Amino acid sequence: MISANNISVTTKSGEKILSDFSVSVSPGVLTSVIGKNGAGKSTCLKAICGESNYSAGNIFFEDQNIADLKPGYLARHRAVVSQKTTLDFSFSVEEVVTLGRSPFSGYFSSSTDQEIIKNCLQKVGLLPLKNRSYVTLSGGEQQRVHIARALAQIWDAFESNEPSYLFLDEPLASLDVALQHEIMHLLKQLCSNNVAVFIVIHDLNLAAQYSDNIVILKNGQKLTEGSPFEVLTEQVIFDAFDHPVNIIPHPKTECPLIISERVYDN
Amino acid sequence: MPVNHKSHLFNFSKFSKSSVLLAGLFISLISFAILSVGIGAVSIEPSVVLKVFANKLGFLDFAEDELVQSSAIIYSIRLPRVILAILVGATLAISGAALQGLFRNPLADPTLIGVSSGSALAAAFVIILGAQMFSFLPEYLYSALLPISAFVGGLIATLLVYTISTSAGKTNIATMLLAGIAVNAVAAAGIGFLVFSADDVQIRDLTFWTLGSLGGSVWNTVAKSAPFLLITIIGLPFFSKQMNVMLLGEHEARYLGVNTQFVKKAIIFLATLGIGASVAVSGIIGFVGLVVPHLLRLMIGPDHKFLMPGSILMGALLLLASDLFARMVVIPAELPIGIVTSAIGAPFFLWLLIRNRSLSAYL
Repeated sequence: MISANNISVTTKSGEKILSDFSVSVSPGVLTSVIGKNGAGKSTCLKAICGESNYSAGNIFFEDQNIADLKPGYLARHRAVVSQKTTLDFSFSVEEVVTLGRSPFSGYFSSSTDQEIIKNCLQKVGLLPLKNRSYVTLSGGEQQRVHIARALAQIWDAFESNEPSYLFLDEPLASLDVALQHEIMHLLKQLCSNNVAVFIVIHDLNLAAQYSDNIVILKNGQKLTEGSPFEVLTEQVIFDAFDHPVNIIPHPKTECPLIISERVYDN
Repeated sequence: MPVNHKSHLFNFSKFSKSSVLLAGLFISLISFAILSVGIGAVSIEPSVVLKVFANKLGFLDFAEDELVQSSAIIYSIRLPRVILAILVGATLAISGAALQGLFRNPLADPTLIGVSSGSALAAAFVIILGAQMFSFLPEYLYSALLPISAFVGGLIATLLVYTISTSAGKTNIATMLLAGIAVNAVAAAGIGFLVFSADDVQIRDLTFWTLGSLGGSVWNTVAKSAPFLLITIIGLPFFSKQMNVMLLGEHEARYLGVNTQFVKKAIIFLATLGIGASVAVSGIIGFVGLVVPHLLRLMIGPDHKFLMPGSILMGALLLLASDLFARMVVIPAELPIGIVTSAIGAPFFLWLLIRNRSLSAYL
């Protein structure tokens, strides 16, 4: 389990972008973070991963303070897919995914690594593109390459059912509806193999359908947290987004279905 | 079942393709070095060159007059120069490749971003004023003063450009190139001022040296610079794996377990050490660090595990060829080699700019 306790993040100019935030990320649980643009979602993800300097609070990785852990150790148990990864060099798709094996491999990747990389590409549906140059891919394809890379990174733990952690910052932003579900399904599958999935997401209905736990952020603070049924209410969503919605049970799955309203008409 | 050999050949995995290229470069380098040792005012057949080497190594025992004469030419004139060309070329190319990895951009060439001219300014300072200011130093320290000051000058320039152009692990390429222009201008002004205050002999030395030259290479100069150059050539490839990961950005690299602070410092240290040492021994030889890694990336992709050794071999080959051209084209005089490499490199740079129609993506 990774637990962040009362962390605050302040910019150099003194602006508080995250205050007094606590969350637990547990293996087997899919946690979604939702909130307005600028609510502090990415900052919160970076802080939990040790990349934003938090001015207060602490973060424990299992039972050790994350600040005391070596990057190499963390990399073997935790993978992160950032919101935007710029790569201007024309690696092939396969080579980018190979980078995900670097915490484990020597100077050259082994045949086991090759097998894992193939599996990961298969899972995100990019195996046919493995020799394509990364820079020529579409935004959605690039995003999936990085998901495959992160998957390759936690593959060993995933295979052996050891606890491991996967953080994703808006991985679905440039994917079509079918791919969004394919990726969410994949994440769900990982969860059942003892992976903790922590995802920043914009699509409320995807969050409702797949999350075990939803964290709602507003102005750098946690508004509420709980199961989709607990937190996805018309009142809470209005508070979080300042926008009215209707919520009805999904006709097939009964989970909350969020329908946003037009408000700028009159 | 018919086997299509042709398609088999083209289905080379990237690994074997890169390995074949490296092997090819290695063989060309060795052959070219032997050829190059033989070419000059007195021409020596490659077979004779091989005989001389075999003799030296104790495989053969000739005492022919011809061999004695050739041997003297090879050992006292040609070989030190060829070795220096190989070491300097390798160092410039691999340092260029490493800096491009550090800046995460293929345009980061040591001469373009001012590393070389930073080194040159510091070295020129020592050349012109060193005799007066540092005469108290013992001889062995005094002789190391030039490479060390060139290293410090290059280091300051690199740190300056890197700090100005990079924030939160992302390099702004326009800022990087503009900062490079500024550093180059400052260095040019400094060198100009030193030239202004120099005497005639020093001016001739300086001019020749700012254009880059491997002339006057003797074993002594090789011995003084080789240790520094070799540290760079041997050291940088150790970071190939980390450099690959760093191309994703610093955050990503840390997520993948790379100690980015250490790797960055190591790359800056090793690259500027090598560039400083090569500037100290041969002046400013431009564009090798741009052209070589670029050609290699076109052929085998950006994987540093092949790019680094490839740069060593191809850089050595390119400088050896340029030096041969420089000393052949205006016999009995010789052209400063920096003119040759710039004549090849600058059009190449322009071609890169034209080829990248979406330059805005670069800048």
